[in-house]
Amino acid sequence: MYAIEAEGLEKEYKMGLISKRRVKALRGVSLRIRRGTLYSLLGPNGAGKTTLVKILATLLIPDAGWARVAGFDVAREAVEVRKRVGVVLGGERALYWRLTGWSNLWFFSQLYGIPPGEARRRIRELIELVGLQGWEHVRVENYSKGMKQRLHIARGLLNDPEVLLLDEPTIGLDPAAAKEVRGLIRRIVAEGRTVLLTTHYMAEAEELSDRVGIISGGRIIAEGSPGEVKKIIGGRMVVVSLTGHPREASMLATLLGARARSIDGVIAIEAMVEDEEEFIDKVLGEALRRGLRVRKVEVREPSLEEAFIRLTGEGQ
Amino acid sequence: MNIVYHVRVIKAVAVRDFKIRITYIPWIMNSLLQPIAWTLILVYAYRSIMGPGSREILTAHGWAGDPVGFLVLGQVLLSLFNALNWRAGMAIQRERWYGTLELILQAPASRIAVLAGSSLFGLVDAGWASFLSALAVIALTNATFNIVDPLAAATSVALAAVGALSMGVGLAGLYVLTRSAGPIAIAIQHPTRFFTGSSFPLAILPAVLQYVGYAIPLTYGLEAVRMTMLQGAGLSDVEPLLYRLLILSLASSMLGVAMVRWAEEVARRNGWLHTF
Amino acid sequence: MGGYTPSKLQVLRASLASYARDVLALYSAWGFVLVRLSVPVFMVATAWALSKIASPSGLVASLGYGDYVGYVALGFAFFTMLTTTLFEVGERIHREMVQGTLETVLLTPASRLAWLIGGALGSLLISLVDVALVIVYYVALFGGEVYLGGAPYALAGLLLSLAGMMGMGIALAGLVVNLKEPHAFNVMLTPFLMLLSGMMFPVEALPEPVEAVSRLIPVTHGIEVVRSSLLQGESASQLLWILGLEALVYTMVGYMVFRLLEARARRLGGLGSF
Repeated sequence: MYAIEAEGLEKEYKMGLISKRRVKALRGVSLRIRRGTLYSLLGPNGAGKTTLVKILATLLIPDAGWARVAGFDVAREAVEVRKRVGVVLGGERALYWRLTGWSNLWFFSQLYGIPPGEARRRIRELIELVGLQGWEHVRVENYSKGMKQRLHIARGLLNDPEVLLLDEPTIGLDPAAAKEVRGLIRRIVAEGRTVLLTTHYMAEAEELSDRVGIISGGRIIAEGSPGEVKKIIGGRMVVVSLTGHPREASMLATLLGARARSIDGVIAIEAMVEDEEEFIDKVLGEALRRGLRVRKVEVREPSLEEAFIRLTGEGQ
Repeated sequence: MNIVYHVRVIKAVAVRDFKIRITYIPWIMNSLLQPIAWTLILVYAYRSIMGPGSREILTAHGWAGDPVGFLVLGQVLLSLFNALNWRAGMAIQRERWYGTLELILQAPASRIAVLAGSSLFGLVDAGWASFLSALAVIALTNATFNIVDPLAAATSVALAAVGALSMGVGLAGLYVLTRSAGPIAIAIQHPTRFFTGSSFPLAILPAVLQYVGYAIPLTYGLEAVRMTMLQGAGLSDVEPLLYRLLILSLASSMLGVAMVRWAEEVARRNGWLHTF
Repeated sequence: MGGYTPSKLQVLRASLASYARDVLALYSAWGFVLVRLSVPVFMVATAWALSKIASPSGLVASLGYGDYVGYVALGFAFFTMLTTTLFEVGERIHREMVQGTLETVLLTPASRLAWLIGGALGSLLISLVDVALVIVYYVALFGGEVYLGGAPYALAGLLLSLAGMMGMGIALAGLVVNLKEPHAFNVMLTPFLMLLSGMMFPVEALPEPVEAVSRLIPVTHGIEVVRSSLLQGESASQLLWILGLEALVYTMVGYMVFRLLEARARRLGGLGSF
């Protein structure tokens, strides 16, 4: 039923041979991901996302806790896990730049023990899936960042994995390339695979995920569907647009604990609040007192990004 | 099935190394020209320090044979070792440079098969370069050989190559433990040149330094090759040398593989796979 | 507002400082220190082993060098120093290209030659440490002796061959920057330079046409001057004149090649592919 299960995972890194500085990367992470779904793990840098992916990929052994991927224990049955999981680590490296895309895929297909005939068929399919037709016999050093990332994904799918671990697959890509990669991820999930995606792009997680986990300081601090995570923090987003003296508007925002943004002479006062009516009354009263004119009042659900900022304290 | 899988992994690694190698033309020329230049340097150095009586001087130190042939064989096997030092020895380190080490270790393939693939390619790659450069030096210098038992000579060369290979695998176990593997690989070439007696008869060194030489598999291989190709020795003459060579080679390879496995385990515990 | 043109000395100092930072970063890895310390020991040790089979009828002895260890130690030390200078110029240009900083440097009004010489001087300072190390090994481990009275001649020979090698280096840099693998080119060239420089044997031992070529390389005469001054206490004044001439010719050629390349790069656009 679950493709990935983890309970109480802990991992601590010891930095340097002499100083022995310790960094706790995971502090008891528990996770359950249903088969055929996409789970996004969101978190700021250093939150523990990559450590968790590496433990699930058998590249790291946890200090405490356990994890099962595709039904096998990542520490005790590492080889069985490796046969059933595909991993795509972010960045441009991890490919042989002097080889062609085809040669890269061929090499890894043999490391996964795929018989030659089947490997050729699979590589052709994957090249098509990731849209690299016509480029497969060109050296990887001539690929764009987006093409390299798509080749990474094809490599991750070589062994027809039940579970695909994608560690920040769109990092450093331009918007068009990132969109292509997101489209590809959607197709992979539609094939019935389970995908664990780590990212710090909120929109990406909101667009793709069945479920979202927010990780901060080595702990999962919120979990659920994107809608549920937004609800966890309660409140609604209120945006009041004003015109008038910017200094007065800024003072108003500070007084009410809100954020002020200026766009084309219009100042937007934003806050996530429990009682939107009370907040709007306060803004209107203060605006009148300070000679500011109210142009528009908008109340909406918070975005996942706003929920993330609220939960992790990032951007404060 | 398992054996077929391992063979496929070995082949894939060797073919990958070959495909990457042929994109570095200057380095291929380098592996051909370097041994030629080094052997010529030694040939002229011998002529300059020993004068016309070099053959007699060498005979007095236990090597009755052509001095140029002596140097050519020393350089061929040393080049073979140097190449395997960089191929088999640095196989894991190179994956780190490419950024592919984690992906290789994430695959279910046997680590020994991966190492064997790189070693196999190293052997072939270094073999033809060493052979061609030796031919060039022989053509330039009129070196002479005295082979009475071709089988003994071929066996000695093959086992000397095994010795060089085992040292490469042994060094892989050392290199995997450090981030400074590149410089150490360079640093190791020079003591190997000295202690194996590739450039001079080992007998001229004090006994304590000779002991160091006889702890290195390549030293035995080199002696067996020189005996069978310069002095017309037969298989029975070099047999004791070849047995010692095989024992040391086995020990070196086993140590290398054990170290690589242990290092992987430690790295998985400490999260070093991508950094060191 | 703006309009500053840095003096050549300013550029040279800045270039030297940036080289020093590069080198310090490299030396933070203990493996590099190990290489720097161990390679000369085994080079000199090989000469020591070979000296045990030396004969008085050999060419080295007939040229008056009784101690082959000293012959190779000095040959190796100064060969390394001079060839490092030769290659470092090209490798530095390539490094800056790879880092993407070459274009930035060439966009400034700084003197290009001062910038190049600054880097070469940096590598020279590092090489001096290597030379000192080899001499210390030779004296302390192998009981060698050097005539310090010959040091002024050795220094003169060294400076002249350095100038020549730097000029050659700049000319070579023009070729090297167009290669993807300058390091491979340098590694390939080193043994041939070793062969021609007489680092391990007198060039008189080479076949005549090869010997003639070897005499066109400043490092060959440089090593001869250093050896005869430090091992035999001779002045080698005639060789110094030849070295001076070579230095002049190579510096001029090097400078011309560099100006040509720069002009070509500006004409074709894309200093990045300089």
